Amino acid sequence: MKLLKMVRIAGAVFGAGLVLTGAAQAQTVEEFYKGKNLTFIISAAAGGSTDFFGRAFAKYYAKHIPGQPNVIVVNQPGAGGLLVGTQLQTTQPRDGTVVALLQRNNLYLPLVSDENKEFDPRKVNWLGSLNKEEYAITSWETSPVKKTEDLFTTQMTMGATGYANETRTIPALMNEYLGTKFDIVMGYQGSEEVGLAMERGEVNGKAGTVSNLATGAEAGWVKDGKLKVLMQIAMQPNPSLPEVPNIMTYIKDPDVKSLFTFMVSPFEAGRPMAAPPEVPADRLEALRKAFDDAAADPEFIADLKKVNSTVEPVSGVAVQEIVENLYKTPQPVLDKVKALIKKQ
Amino acid sequence: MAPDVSMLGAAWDALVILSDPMRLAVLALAALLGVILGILPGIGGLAGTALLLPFTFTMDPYTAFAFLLGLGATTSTGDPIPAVLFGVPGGAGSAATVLDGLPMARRGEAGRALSASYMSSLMGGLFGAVLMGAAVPVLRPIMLNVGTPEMAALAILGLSMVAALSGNAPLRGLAAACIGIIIAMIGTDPRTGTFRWTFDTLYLWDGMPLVPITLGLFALPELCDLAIGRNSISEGARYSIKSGMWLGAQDCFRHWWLILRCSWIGAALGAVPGIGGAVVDWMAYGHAARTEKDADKTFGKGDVRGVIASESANNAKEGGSLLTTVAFGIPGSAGMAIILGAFIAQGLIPGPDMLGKNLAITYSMVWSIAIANIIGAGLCYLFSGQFAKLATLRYTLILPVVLSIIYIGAFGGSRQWGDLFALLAFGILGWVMKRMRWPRPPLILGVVLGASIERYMFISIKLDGAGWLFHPVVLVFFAIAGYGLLGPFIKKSREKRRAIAAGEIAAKSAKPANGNRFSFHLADLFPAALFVAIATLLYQTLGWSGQSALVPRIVCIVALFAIGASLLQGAWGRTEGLSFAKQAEAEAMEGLHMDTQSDTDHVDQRDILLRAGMFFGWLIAFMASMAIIGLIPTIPLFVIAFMRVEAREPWKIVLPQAILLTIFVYVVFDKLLNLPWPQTLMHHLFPAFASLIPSM
Repeated sequence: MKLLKMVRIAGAVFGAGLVLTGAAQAQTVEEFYKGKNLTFIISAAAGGSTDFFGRAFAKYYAKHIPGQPNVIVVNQPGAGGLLVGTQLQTTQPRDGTVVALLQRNNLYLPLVSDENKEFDPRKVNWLGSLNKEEYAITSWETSPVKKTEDLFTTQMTMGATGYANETRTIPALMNEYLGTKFDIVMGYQGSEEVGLAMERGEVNGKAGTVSNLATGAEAGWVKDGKLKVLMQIAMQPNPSLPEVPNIMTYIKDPDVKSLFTFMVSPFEAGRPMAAPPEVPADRLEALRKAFDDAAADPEFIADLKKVNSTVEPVSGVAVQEIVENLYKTPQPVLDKVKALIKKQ
Repeated sequence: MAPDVSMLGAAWDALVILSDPMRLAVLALAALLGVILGILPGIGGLAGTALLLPFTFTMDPYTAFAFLLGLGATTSTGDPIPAVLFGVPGGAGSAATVLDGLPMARRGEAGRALSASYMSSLMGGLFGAVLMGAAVPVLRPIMLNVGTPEMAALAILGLSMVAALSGNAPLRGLAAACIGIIIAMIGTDPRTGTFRWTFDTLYLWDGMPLVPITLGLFALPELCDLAIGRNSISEGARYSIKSGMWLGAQDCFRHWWLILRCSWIGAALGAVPGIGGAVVDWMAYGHAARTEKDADKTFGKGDVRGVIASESANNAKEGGSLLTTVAFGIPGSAGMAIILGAFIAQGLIPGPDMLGKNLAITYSMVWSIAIANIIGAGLCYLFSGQFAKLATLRYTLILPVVLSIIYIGAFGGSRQWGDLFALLAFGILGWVMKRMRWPRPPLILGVVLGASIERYMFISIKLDGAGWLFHPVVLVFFAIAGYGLLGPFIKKSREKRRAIAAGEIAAKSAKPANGNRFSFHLADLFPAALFVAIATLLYQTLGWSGQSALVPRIVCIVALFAIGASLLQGAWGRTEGLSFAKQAEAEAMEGLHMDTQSDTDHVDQRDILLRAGMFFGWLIAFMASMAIIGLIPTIPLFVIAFMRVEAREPWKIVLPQAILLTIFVYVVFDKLLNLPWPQTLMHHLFPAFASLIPSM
């Protein structure tokens, strides 16, 4: 132990020397980032939409940080973003040289899951979110359910991916508290596979994101009348779907309302970005401001427009607020959510 | 026939667009990169395509897809090079090439084996592309009529190949396949949210990644035996480079019908999500072993047809897996998932549009794969003479380099420490299996197919109860599987009856030497340990929900039965007084053994164990050093230590090798690929100092 202590002291002295040569006192944010590397971790594998939007954003992000650090994009998939979340919280450097694009479920799953106790979304610093998300219940043309009211009287099969995924939890929640009659088939891999299952008549419909309805293969189906949008699941209804009723208008019981709010409010932070805890205040402020500026950068918006996508930025403070509200949810509500996603 | 005219028109337009010199240059560059990355074990299309993807964001779609597909298509042309030369598959898709490629190299026929693999890669790749081009118009209708039950049946048909790949050890093959399925079950169960065998680690949430498993199971055991034998792979060349090359190409033309069949298997299976990719080589190899004349006598002992079967399927799969990606946005393989990123970046939507108004882009993809295959094979032929010489190098020159690359390749699996532990664990398992003559291919089949079968099967049951079993296509697949399983037994017993009738052999076989006395042997420790391990896993399934536990429990029980039966069979009927290696060999003398054989007869048993211990000791030292000072500083240290300690190689060889390898790793993996290196002890103690050194 003594040796270790000596080594530590030697290291501290050596490290202090290095810091001093860099003239660390009263260093401005710009001086700090100038010539430094900013590691931009994407919590998903290369090739998916998270990767694309992360990479598309990263270069504008670095441009808007004072001192324009050199941005290095790193892919680190694992446990649906929880791996990177945990790394941010525990091991990543806290000097502001690391930021990460996390995933929506990271905001609320740790609160209701028994399996992951390490990541606490309140402990990291949220920088903002690149878009808002809404879900919608859709039904294929051959489905027995034709209009919104049928949902409460007629059974339809829904294709879903994973157990704790919104493609299952939303219909399951609706069955439990609103009296819908969904029969949910789980185990498809991704929304494209569910789409194929609808096309070949294996399932009648699905719960999916509205952004997919607007830009994915589903956009064509909606236009051709093959796919009907029956209900949207959002805090605020999406303006592109004025005809489609929002689930929130069907909920009267305040307990049920807070249950749905718990599940739906994280959609507001669709692509959240975070930094580790204890980042110096001035740098954190700069990182948050850079997020807002980069998300509003006309060139970035033009880049996304080229691929038929839009940016709906949410500020870091707003994301932090969503997290805090989630953690204020009363225990009985949390228990109900837990029962819903707890293993069978 | 208006649609055909427009199809041919689109194909022609695509060729014209692609023949732009700039685009061809990009394609050639991608093909070159693909071959190089293919040669590096464990680092293949996946890492390469991920590396190139961001560069394509600013390209036009034709160039972008040419760039990505050119690389993806040619990695499988480079893959067989280390497989033949060192027994280390360059990628998961050429593991089967090792079985016959390595024995050929040992005989001094490395050039011939390489040439045969390039030519069959080329022919397979072209055939896959042609099949895809032709299938474009009928693809969507077919896929819309193939439902989840048919997918389940196809996956089960794939798994029935275990019978062909177990050779003369069916019980051990069955046990290995079950172990593979058990590994596939690790992770979060999508249907119930149950965490199966995750042992409270985030690493296991998403299941075991395939790369460290394949490298551990197939690459490390060959390298370990190389370290035990302390030789080079081959003493010299049997043919001159030119005549070897010519022979290999001739082999391919002679066996064109085999290539055609295996390409078909490769392309068709490549199109099935979750099935194709990683095991097409084994499927094709198993098919060839079953159907080719006298295959049971020569396969696994350096038969060029084994190399041809595996490699043609391996290159044909790219065309197949592109199909479902383009037509439905469902990636046929892991590499194709990255290609989907290019679709997003180009604002293209996979689906009917790609077969309609964007047909020219789709055909440009087909052409890209075809042309890249030609360029890739051409490049390989160009440099082959130099490659073939590698097999004659001393093991101390080969091992440190290959091991370092394998470590990085395995780390690419999910970029976590767990990958390296998995590599080591599967390396030890693979080496013991190889020594004890437990066939390894069924294990990998179980890993790849196990999860798909469970997934597809539960969806089918949920949709249609037991009715899915009676879908016509399902019945056809089951019939083929049944024929594959039972056919050989029927054939064998018929032959035996004929032989008995002719009085060639006595009706009763001779009694074993020890007269059926029970005896426990050192070699029984391995199955006994497996038995205990699986029983423990079975115990852990208590408390899982019924649906989650069903398949794991069945598989565990079957594995216990197979291992137990194999153990008893061994303990009752063995000959006394042989070393464990000889013992295993004696047990497996008859018939075809579906695995490589160790080339270490000149080393006695004590030295084998000692040197194997040293080999795995080196691996552990590598990992320890990586934990303390990081991967990049470990590489020169490891190269120098290994070469000096194992063989006192002269410094003038050691130093340049250490320096060059370190620079290569730094540039490619730190600078270009931005691998997120795990945190080190040095970083923890001296963050300021450590941040100056890459990967520390």
